[in-house]
Amino acid sequence: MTRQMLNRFLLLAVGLLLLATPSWAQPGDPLRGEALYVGMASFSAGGAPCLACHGIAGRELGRAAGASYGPDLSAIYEDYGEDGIIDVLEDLSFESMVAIYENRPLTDSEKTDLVAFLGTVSTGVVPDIGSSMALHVVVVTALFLIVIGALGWRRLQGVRRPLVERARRGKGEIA
Amino acid sequence: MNIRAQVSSVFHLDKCIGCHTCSIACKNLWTDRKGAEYMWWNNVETKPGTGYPTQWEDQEKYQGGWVKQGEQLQLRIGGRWGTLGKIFHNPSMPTMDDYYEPFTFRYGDLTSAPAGDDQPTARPVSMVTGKPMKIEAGPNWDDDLSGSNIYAANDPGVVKLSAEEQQQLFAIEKMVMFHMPRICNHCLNAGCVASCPSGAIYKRGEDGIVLINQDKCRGWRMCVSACPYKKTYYGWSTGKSEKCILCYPRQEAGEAPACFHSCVGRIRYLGVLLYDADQIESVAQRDDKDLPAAQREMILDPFDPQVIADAKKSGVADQVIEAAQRSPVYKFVKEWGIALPLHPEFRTLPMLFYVPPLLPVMSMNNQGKQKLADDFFATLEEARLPMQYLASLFAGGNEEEVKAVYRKLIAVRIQRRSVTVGDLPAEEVSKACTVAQLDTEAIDAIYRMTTLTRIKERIVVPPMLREQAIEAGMDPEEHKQEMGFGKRISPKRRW
Amino acid sequence: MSWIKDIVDPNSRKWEEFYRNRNQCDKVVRSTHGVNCTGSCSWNVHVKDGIVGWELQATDYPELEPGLPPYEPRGCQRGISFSWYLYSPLRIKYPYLRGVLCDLWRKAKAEHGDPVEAWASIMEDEEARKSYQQARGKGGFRRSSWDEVEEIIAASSIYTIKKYGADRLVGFSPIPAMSMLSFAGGSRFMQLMGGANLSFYDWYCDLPNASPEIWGEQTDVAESADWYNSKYIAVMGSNPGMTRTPDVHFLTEARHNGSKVTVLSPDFSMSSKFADWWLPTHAGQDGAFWMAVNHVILSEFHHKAKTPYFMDYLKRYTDTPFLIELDEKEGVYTAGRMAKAGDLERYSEEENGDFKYLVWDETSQQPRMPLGTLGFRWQEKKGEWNLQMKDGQDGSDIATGLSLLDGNEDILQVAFDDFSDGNTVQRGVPVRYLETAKGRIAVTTVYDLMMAQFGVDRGLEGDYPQNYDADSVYTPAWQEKYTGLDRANVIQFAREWAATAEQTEGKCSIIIGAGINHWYHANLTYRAGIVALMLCGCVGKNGGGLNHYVGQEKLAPAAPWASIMGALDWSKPPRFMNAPSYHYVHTDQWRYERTSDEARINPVSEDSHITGGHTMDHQIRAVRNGWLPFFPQFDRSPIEAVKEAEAAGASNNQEIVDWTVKQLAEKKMKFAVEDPDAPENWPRMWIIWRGNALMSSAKGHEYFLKHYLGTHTNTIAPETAEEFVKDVKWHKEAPQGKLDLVVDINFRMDTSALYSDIVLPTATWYEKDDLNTTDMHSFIHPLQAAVPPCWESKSDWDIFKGLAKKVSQMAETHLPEPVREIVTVPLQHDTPAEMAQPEIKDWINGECEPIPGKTMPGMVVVERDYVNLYKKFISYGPEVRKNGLGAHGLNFPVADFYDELKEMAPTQKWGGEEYPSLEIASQAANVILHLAPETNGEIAYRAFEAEEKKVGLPLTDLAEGSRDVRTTFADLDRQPRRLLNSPIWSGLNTNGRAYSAYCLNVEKLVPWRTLTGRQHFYLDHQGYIAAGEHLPTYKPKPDHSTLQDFLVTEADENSIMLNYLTPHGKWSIHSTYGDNHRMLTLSRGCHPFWLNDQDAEQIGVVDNDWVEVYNDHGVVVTRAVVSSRLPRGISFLYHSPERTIGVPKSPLRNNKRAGGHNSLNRIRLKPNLMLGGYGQFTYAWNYWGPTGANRDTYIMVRKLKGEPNW
Repeated sequence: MTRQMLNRFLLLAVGLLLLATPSWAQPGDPLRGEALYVGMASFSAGGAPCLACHGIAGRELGRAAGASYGPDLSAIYEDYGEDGIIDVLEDLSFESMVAIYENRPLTDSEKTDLVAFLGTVSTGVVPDIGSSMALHVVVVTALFLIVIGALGWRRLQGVRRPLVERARRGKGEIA
Repeated sequence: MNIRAQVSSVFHLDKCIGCHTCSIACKNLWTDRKGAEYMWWNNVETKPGTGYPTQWEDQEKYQGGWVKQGEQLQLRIGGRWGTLGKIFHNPSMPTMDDYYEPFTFRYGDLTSAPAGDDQPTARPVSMVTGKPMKIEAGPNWDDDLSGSNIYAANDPGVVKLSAEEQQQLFAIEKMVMFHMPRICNHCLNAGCVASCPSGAIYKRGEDGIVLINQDKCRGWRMCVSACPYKKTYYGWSTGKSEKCILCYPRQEAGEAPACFHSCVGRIRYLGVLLYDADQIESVAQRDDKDLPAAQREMILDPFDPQVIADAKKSGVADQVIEAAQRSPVYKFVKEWGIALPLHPEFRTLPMLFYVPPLLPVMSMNNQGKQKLADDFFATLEEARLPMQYLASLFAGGNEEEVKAVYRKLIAVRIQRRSVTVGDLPAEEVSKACTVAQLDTEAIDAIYRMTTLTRIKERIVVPPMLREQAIEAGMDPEEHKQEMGFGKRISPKRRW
Repeated sequence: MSWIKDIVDPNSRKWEEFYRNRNQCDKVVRSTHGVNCTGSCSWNVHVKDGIVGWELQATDYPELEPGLPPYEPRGCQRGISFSWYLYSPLRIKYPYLRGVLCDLWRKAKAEHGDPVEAWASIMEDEEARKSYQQARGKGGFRRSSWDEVEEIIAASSIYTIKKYGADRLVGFSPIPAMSMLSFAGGSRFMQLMGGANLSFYDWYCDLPNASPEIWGEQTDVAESADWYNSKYIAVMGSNPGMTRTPDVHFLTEARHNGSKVTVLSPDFSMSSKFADWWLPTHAGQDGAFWMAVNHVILSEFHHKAKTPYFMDYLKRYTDTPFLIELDEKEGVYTAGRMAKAGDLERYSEEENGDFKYLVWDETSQQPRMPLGTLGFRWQEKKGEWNLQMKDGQDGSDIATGLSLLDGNEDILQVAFDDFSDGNTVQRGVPVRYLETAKGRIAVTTVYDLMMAQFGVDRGLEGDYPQNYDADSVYTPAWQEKYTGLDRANVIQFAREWAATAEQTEGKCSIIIGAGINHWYHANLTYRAGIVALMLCGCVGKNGGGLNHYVGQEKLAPAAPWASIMGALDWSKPPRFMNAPSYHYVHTDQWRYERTSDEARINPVSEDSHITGGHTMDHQIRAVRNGWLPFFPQFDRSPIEAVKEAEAAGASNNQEIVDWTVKQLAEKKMKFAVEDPDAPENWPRMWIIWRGNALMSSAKGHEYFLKHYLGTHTNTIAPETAEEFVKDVKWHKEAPQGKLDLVVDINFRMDTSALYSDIVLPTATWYEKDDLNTTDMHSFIHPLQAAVPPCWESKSDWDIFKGLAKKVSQMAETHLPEPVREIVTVPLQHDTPAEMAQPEIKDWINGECEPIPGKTMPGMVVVERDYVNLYKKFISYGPEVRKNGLGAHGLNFPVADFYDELKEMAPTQKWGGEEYPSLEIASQAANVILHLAPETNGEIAYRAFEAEEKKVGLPLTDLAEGSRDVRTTFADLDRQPRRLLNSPIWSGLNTNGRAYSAYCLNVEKLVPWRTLTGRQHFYLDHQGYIAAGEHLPTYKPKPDHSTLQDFLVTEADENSIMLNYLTPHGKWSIHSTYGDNHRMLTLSRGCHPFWLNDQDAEQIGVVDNDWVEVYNDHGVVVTRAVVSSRLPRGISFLYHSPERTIGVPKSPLRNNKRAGGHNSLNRIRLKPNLMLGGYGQFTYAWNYWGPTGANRDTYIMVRKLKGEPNW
């Protein structure tokens, strides 16, 4: 598969996902939480999506790049629990979050949605979006993985660190 | 003809001292705030080296710039629609480690430490997490060949050289380095502009400055990937991307951009170029090796009456045409042909040009293996950097382009030596000039521009005609009365 | 084009206001950076909302002559990061007091009420004193108030004055030129009290001793614009690409104008990058290269070609034609003293005949006495001190002969030292014989001695090398084993150099710096290079000369500034001392030294009473003989000494002095230097301002901590001096914690602040008014307050004014009446004392009489009026009006301008008199500007008039065109002003001409301030002859086995030994800026240790690994930079890190905090630089004395075990 084709395929998959997404209404909706997390849906006050800083390794989310400003949140639900996460979002306990969300606070429902989503991450449960949609999600996830592989898994490790590691192993004189 | 004006620059690398004053001028003014710590709109790199972010030149890894797809140009990360697919997962995005984790120190501990049994010290802490950290990377980590066996050795340009050439570069006898400052190239065929899913990035019509509209940016970061020079940065605090703005607020006030103003090596030149926008697409598709010449061709002679007439027709103001006639960039790039674009093969048509550095000759060592310079100055054959390396930086691999520049630089020196000292054989002098295809008038002009110029001659900021720009949206008189008051909120009234 | 959007629509571009708003600021104020940087760059400080936002360079320098690139912009990465400091967490916002001392003080104060008594109670309680000394540097600061800390400082001062004498108070501040008033505020305060101020230029090892040796000048160099005039530039020991950031464009631009640049440097430096030709010489071996270059120049361009320009230049401007006596011992001749005119019958009646010297006149074939030598300078009859080649007796012209080769009477075999392999060679030298009062003596010229010294084969008998390939001292082949450079390089370089000089009449220059000057034998390396300049007529020419840029020594308006700085407007002499000797003695570093090692470092052909013995004993002799100053002076208070003299019947000052001399001669009174470890001889209170005296400049830092501060230290070096010292009293236990009180005035919490007892918050350079000049350009700049001093800080001027006030108040109780004390002064340069000691004779051994100011230090009784100290501080005193101003032996009247100041400026009225006010810094600035020849055209005219009288040739034309120029502080705000021509300096600025040193001497025939009035190849001093340094020579670099760096430290397989170099770096100016966030971000977040990749591999170190660097003196822990840019065997730790920023603990030294760069070294003083009493070898502050050399150090480095421990 050429890269070109892959890209198109991915685009298609994303399109499908968008089409397949049900309306978000109920509180504590993990799907909506995910949409908020990755930025597909905007926070009402305009805060940056979580993925801007935090990746979730368990979900292959944001391992590329910018999403590594903050710690990975794969285990946050286990570490903090529901209340803990809400507290963090409310008190903005981390200095770097203050600047982003102080004047752009999350609504209560946004918080609970996020918590719900993060809860699924921690248990590895795919959010229940109905059996018909589950297939799409599986397909999309699989596509993600393929695309990542094709576009250079190596890149996800970063560039600089392997150079140093190679030197450390004594092979780095001339690449 | 669709003639436009572009504020363009030349960096004279032979004069660059790698001091980074430019970087700090920029940082002080624009990026010294939360979320922008790691942004270096202007940075300076040691070459050979991996640069900032690490190995940014390697587009196999970063997927920046354009590629030719048959008769079409396409962004390497895919067209605008293609980029959408990467919104959530973009493996070609630099990681924080490819930049660096911004750090500071607990300076306050020095004053506030309680009495103890040892001296307090200010520990390094992350500006992201606030926690103590080990510093492993920085925006200028390989400065002056620091860690040369890791970084210089992995310069993407060096990696392409033969094993023998590589070995030579890192033997002390052949040791070499130079400094290369980088800002946004304000490209004619900018990858960032093309890639933005939000349509937030644009070139200013009057001067070609590329800007990211901070109201429209959604932080997708496609521009970060698409820019092969890695000169847009995502701001984690605002969730928007930012980049070099060529200090348009300073230029609008008639001042040099801060990095140009502060350049203490006096290496920076700025001026307007006129070009034919209709040619962008075709020029950007030329073969790698032809790109420098093609780019030169699309730059138009501001003294040519036809060009002037066409420019006026295209809406370029008379004052801007006059500024283009005084542009030092025009002279360096077009008239003298001694400034070349950086990595033209990225096909963005960068509008920042570099005069390559002269390089030292090594003495003979004890074994007497090396040839001692017979000539008073270094010759092209003795250049310490492989021509191929320079050609891969500045000429799409075309060595002849680079050699032509060096012949001219050498001719200027020889001619000036002959004028000021007169100890070189006359035939050597005239031969150098002939080979370089320069007459003494041109040599004199190059020498003056390189050495004697005042800031107003080096940096010719075109008139920005602000009153006319403002007039399009508001009466300038009203603007005069109201500017600076910002948003005004009327008081609540009881009636 | 489809996707590239060009937008002109204003509505979609409204957001652009976002960045516009940031750019707008409220005001722009001109200031600059005020310490330790030679840049002197004019900056525009941008203020927004009353907060300093950022700075950008001013670009409005007045232009120089056409054809020279302009000075704009000036200002580097460090300077542009300065605004970070103002509001950073490193800023010192309030007065701080060490907690332990704070408790003691408040308790004592409550108990005693009187502050002096309170202070005494703490000082006299040994345990209490120790308790806060041991807490030094260990945190625990308390915020205090100005009132409280001023009271403690005043109490400590008065306690010390009363108990031990004011000469136990000491002040240190680095190089004044960058903020001269801030410096002057402190020194004025110290001098009004009677305290000692320490020198800086020699201490920083920035003083190039070769400059006083050759030119009788502290330093004078070209401004950087003059590099552009140079057609051949050799750079050695200097990295202008890195350290002369605002100037280096002249270097690159010169190349594009056809100049050639050759760089000698072991590493591929930022300057090597600019070179046309890079000569990677071995570190510290540049001298060998130049000696061989000189061999080639002398052989080809002198002996063979007799290049007319070179010959003519040497005759007029150098000592080469002067006659030297040859001494005979057992049939072997050696070069001796300069032949004296007074010894010839013809000149026997001449005034100062023993200080007038002889040349050979080819017309009369007689020795003749040319004008301009030392005797003419100090004789009654003025107007004969000039460089005309005329006989001083009858004014007849002299046809100077350079060599006696043609028409000699004899060829004698003369012995020359070859220190490179410990040999002497004998070489034939042509001589004439003179009939003198001493009998018949053989003489030759300096030129002939040079030819023989450098081994130029002129067909004379002796050990002359046959060709360049002979392995004989100073041939191109000889130098290969030292420099590692092929001989062909030397030959080519010499030819290019000399040919360029011949073609351009002297437009060859050397840029030289700390990379040479910080070596032990720097004076010799400098001389080797300067010889190449003088041989080719390159000194005193635009585009030519030695350009030494290390430390910013050029304070342009020196004359009026000095009067304020030294409080000379009230009384003389000041107590100025050379810091290297001060710290060597008082930090007890001499106790760690062995005579045998030091002697190997500084070899002499024959040990003599002049060269032998322990360096500490050399130091004592230098003090006793009046060569160097020393404080404290005596083993008792100088106030007590006066009282004792009076009790013994002395009724006037002369009798007090006589009594003191007698006491010293009878050994009833001793110099303090003879027993520095006795408590009565310790320094007691130290005020540090504008500098980092405990770290950045504290060579042997760990010894400072141990002996001065009495706190923790990482030195493990054994004391080894006991069996070697003779004249100094040995105490079994060295005292620890000599200082009662350490006060640091600072705007940032640096190492010195952290280790001090009291930290005073000072205004930054954007918060105060001051003046600033440099040698890098010829303008004068202001510092100005862009914002008022932040938090509780005050300007240095105001801080010292406050301290003066407190001392005055306290003195009303404790020192209500004026007191008299005795002040010692060494034999001074630019005074007739240059004729004091033509021979070395020690009065202590009865070799001569003890005569103050002649065979021993001068002594002066002065009065101190502590009650009026504050009033004097703020008033410009009457002595200036009475005695005029001057410098360098020149004096001019200023009474009318002094009175004008009273008319135009605020005044102080007290005691029935009125004085120009110095109450605020800008007033002092105006006093300086109004009285300096460099800024007041009429004063310049007057100064040239005075110089004319001395010289006897016209000079006032140099000032005629600018007589009406006056400059005020407000003028400097408008635009930098270019300095006027002044006889205090030696370059000429007329009509935008670039300043180049000694053009005045060459063009106007004004003598250099040396023995012959000319530039010296030959150093005629008994001590130099004994040391084998009378002729330019080469002495080997000391190796690690002689350096005592590893007496107890042992190597193991995990470590490697490297030569330890501390060059000036890219990310700091000394320690300033190096701790700021910008610089740390752009470097590596630390001050790394640089080493070669193969060396690193040997010890398993990978780039960015933590390493431990150590020797007997201390330890450094930092991260490594591995780079093939450095050759094997050397390492860099760029000068200078703070041990306060990210420094972990050292497992090797008990897990205590590791140190800074100066933790790894110890001072070594070169004894022949202590010589004095004759000619240009006489003392002046920061002009003469041994330097704090620090390059000759070796270290071990190993990978840090485990993770760093904080």
